[in-house]
Amino acid sequence: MYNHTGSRGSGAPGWILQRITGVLLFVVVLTHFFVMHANPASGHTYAAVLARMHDPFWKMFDLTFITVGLWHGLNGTWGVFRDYKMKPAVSLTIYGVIILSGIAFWVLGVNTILSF
Amino acid sequence: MIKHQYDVVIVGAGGAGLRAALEIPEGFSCAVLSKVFPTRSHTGAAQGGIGASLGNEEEDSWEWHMFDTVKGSDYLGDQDAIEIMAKDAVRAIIELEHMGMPFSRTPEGKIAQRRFGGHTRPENPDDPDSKRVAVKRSCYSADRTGHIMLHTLYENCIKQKVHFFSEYFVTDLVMSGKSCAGVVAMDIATSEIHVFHAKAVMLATGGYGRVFRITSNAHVGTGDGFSFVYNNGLPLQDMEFVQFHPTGLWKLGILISEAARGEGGILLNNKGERFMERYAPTVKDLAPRDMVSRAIITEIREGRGFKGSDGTSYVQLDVSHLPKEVLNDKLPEITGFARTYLGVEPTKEPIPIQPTAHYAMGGIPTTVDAEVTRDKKRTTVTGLYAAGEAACVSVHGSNRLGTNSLLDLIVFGRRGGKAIAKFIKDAEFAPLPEDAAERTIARIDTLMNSKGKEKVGALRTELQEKMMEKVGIFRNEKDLTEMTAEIKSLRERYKEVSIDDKGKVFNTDLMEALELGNLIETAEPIIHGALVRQESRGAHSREDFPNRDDKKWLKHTLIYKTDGKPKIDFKPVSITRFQPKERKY
Amino acid sequence: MKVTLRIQRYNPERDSEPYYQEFIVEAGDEKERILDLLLQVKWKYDGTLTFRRSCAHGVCGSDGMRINGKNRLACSTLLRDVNYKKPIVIEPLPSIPIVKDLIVDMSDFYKKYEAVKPYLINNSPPPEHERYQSNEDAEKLFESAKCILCGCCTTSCPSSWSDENYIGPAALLKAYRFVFDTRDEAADERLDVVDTPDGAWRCHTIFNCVEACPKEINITWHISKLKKRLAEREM
Repeated sequence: MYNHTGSRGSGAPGWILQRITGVLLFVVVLTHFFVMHANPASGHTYAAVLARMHDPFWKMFDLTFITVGLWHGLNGTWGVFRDYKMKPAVSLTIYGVIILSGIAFWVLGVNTILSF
Repeated sequence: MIKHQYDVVIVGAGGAGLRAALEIPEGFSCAVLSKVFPTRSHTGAAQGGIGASLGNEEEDSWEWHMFDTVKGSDYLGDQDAIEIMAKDAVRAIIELEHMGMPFSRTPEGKIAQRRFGGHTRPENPDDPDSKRVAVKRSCYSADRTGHIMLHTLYENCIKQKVHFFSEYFVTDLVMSGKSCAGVVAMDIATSEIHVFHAKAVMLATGGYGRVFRITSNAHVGTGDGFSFVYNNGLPLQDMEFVQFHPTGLWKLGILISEAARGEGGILLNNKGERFMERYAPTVKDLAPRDMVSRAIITEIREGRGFKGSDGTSYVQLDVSHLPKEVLNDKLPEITGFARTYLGVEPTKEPIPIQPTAHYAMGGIPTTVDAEVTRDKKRTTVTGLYAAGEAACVSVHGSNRLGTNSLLDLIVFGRRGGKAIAKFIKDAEFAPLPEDAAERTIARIDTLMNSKGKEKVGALRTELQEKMMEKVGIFRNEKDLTEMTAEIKSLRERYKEVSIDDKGKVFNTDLMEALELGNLIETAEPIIHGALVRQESRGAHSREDFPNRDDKKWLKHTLIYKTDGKPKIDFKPVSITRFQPKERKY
Repeated sequence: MKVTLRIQRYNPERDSEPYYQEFIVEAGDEKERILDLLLQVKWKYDGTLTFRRSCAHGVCGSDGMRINGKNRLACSTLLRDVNYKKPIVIEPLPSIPIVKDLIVDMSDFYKKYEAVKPYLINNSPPPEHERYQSNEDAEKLFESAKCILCGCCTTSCPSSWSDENYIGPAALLKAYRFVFDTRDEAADERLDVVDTPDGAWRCHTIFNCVEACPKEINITWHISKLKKRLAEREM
């Protein structure tokens, strides 16, 4: 039976962020592909890539990429899971896995970027 | 059997019932019973608009509205009641708007208005006797005015926390001596019988379109309210006046609003002639409905109709010359109907149409405050009220003008609600008779246990086809006499009806059988009234008496049920401002 | 021409679970309404067949049902809209309780509709005339006001299937109808109702509702407008 439980937190911040990160990703992913894969002039040799990894601009760029990508992707994944009716334990587990893997990948990614 | 006690019980949740419910003050209990969920009521099928002399688009006055209504009624409408309605119309529209109804608007943001059949103004406003031309008087929301109005009223009922009993089928009135003490109803979901004891009962049960085969009415339009009153020895008034709307979709009867012609649509015969020019030279296609319907049948009879593949005939309604914006913005629903149901593209080709049984001008006689009356002296029945199509105030006389039905609902629904609110303050409950539900229980038992050979569907189809054939747009003594015998035999055969469904949950088989009984009871006064009235007036056209006869027939008929032939009585018409004149357009 | 209807039947007084029954009916041409074929079954062959119907031309919203896997109105679906060479499968609207045959329990649907306060709230004293509103502002409401509460959208929505507490497209559309009415003063109250995980945010723009709506209302567009309004409010 429908039971209106009142406000349990607005979905607005998540909805807005999902859209903002989506737009950012559009730019970041396209740039990434262009620079790394499509345009030989930007340099695809080991040395050229290494040089870019040391450049503060590209560091910032990659940090943005990993943060925005992970948030957008995992938030979206959680949204898909929420379309299914689950027992609280299952839903909590999935939520936990998403959060933990998010943190783990972020730490790994940031570490890699900052190690250059 | 479950008993309830409410100060007020309203039967029917269409425009009139909902509007009345909004008048019941806090502190009094009110139950609204409806055999369908409220927003499924037939008010929602109205399309074109609500008449009111707002004068938002061009100069207008309530006197002109009143005159048009009187003339449209062929002078049979009670002028005191029509005056009340025409005067109150402006307030009623503003009130609906304040309730939140979304209207189409003028560039200044006022409620938009358009032309409609029979609504006119003097061409020279300073000379009331100058030629009358069509006036923009119909307030509308695209071509879904009824739907939008019904939803607005229901929304306001939710706001006021009105108590609804949805899918409760009322089967009978409870009479206590000369007063009404409540109603008997069946909860459709369980077949449980409920007795509602009430100080005041309002019948807002709508019309009887389903007596006829081709009708614009919903399947629920089975004349329930008429039969309750008739079966309880109370009269029905002016039942012979059945409005056939000229433009129903061919074969289906689905309403194509007069708004199509109000926006510029025209009717064509098989010679491509705009034939209404011959029948109503001044207003042409915007003549009142009775005249247009007769004109269509005359064209067909004289060989100027189109023949369909199944042998039935039609004429055409052409809107293809109208600008696309008009069709899309102002007539989206009806152009959709033509596409969906006939596969006709109205922007390119004409729509096949035929007249369709549409509205009951007659009904349960009431005062202007919706109190039901029992005789020609207008003696009221304590505790019983009626409003909307079920009632006959009479504001429509022998022919209703388009847009006046929605207006009737909100004006007299409200007046009835107010009268009830006043009445219940001091009134006591009339004693509830022990055997209140007995007749209903017996009726249901008979149907549930019958092993008879007659089937609901077949019997109803027979009734509908014969009514269409013999009591349709043109009538004569021979047909009506035959139909009188026919209805007697149908009534006998109805006793042999058996049903397949013997269950208790949502027994719609049983419900349809009960509704068929109501249809047969309602058909009798229609036929009898038509037989008795030896003249042609408004929607009642006798081939054997082709003229209006004010000397003998400028009066209302009242018909009472008896064991044999129905009893007839007459009631004078109230004439205040306008003396009867020849009705020409 | 002969047409076969394969109808899902269920009588709670007799059956433990729904089953299918086939009826062969006679159709005049392919413009015949599915509703008329159902009525033919009821009136000619089996009076126990149970379904709701009233206006029979798509304005009252009584006869929403699942026809060949799509939620539609039996009265606005014609034979030519379906493949009638094969049996036409007719089932009740999915995901809500069946009462009998094609009749479903709509009480939850109506409760959700009432939750969004579906009535104009304006506490300032009204003027003597109508409240003025531009035609453009009025027309913004017309599409949403077309809704006939048939339930085809809400019962077609996967988000509704997975979460019975989701308020559903029909109620959200009704919320739009009043939130965007220039005459209304209670947008915030209504936005509070839909600004929950079970409210507008449960809509994941799947568009099933748009496909199902027999009145051709772009419901998802209206819900997106609501979401935008909610986001603006948040910021």
